[in-house]
Amino acid sequence: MHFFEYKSGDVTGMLPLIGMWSIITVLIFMLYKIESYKKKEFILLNRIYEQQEHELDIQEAERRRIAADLHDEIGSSLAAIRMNLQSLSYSSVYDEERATSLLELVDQTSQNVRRATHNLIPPHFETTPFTSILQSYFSSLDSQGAIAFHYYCNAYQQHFSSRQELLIYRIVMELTHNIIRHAKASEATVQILFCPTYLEIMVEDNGIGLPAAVQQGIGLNSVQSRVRLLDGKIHIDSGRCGTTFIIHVPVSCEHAC
Amino acid sequence: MPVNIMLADDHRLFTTGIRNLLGTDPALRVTHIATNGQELLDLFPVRLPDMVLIDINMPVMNGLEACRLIRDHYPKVKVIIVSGYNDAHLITEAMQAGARGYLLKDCNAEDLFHTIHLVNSGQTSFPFRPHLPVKNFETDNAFLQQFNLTRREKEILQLISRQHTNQQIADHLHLSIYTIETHRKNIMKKLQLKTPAALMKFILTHPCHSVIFGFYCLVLLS
Repeated sequence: MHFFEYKSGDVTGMLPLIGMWSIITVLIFMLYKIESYKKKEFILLNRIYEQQEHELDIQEAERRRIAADLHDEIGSSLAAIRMNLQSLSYSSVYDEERATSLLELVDQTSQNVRRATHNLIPPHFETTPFTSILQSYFSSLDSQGAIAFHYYCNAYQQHFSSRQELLIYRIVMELTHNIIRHAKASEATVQILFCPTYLEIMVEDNGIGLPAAVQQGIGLNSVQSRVRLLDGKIHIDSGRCGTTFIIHVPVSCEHAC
Repeated sequence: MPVNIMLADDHRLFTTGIRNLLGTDPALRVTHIATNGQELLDLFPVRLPDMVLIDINMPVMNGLEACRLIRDHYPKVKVIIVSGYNDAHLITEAMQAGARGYLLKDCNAEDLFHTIHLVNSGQTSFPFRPHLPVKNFETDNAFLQQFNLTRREKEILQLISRQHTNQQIADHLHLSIYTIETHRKNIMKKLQLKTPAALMKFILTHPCHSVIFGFYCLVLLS
């Protein structure tokens, strides 16, 4: 055991040993630091997700409030104005013509209000079956645009809370709006497939595909954060022949049991 | 005998307007105006109307609830929903709640009178909403319609019938393997098959196989 033979004070002989020990100590310290940073990062990420969740909830509540105000106050007043305009009797043809053009203006405005309200949140969302809401949404899309939307939903069962359904609805809306705005597609298929343990949302289009940045996860923020809130997984498959989104949302236990 | 009508809407100016408008028709008479569903139903024991026009959004009791109660307790009273919403799902819900008609709040005076007289004569009147049929994939193709297959799924089925692997199909369609696998799973589910062997058997034995094959030949030839 040669290292007992070192005389006290013979520091130079112990240098390699001291060096080794200090390196090991530094390494252990660094490992410990990395661990704690990882933990902190995890906590911060979680906080961000919580924040996002909170933000989305606030956003939905605000949307609901604005939609209710728009419909109840402005929409109803416009309808009242219209009814009263119609029930007036006019003394001359000129007056009547002016009233008619006013009526047209009121009509246009109330249509705009209605569209705005609907875009904020479909009326009576909580009390209407989710499939009817989707059906309604796609029939309105179909009558609007140049893109042929095909929609299919298999036997949907009430396994999600109305908050989760709203998240799913927003995801579908966002994806279809993206197709309309950016994809340059002529056809799109949206399928809501209910499996015993999860819900699959499959959105396909035959457009130009997503820009590379979006494919790497930039953009589509609102979709991504909603999928995360639902504990779901998103798979994006995009190329020059179009884009396919596959989203799986697990059925939460409390609703499944 | 004029038709006795009651109105229910929490918006006074609207009900006043509608009453004035209906007053121009001697065949119609507005007897009472309520501001919500409960108030309307409270009026019924005093004097039963022939017809009521109700709004959907009202405090205390909304129009659809009131409509269901009227259907259950006063089936002779005809209900027309007058609403600011023109959503298909609400129109359907109104129908299910027993309404005989549905009017938009910004309708023309002619539409209003037309609907009231139509409903009074025992008919129903609802706005036309183009309902998308649930099965709307290539309605001309009976095979697709039967199993609710999408065009993409049909394409993949064709490639499977040619013994292509998932990788080959993915390359052919410029899709990822995961997408193809998902499509495959969905096809199996829609055809109610459990194993890949069952799928092969389905492709070989199904009479529509010839249709697919014929289609494929056409594609090859063209």
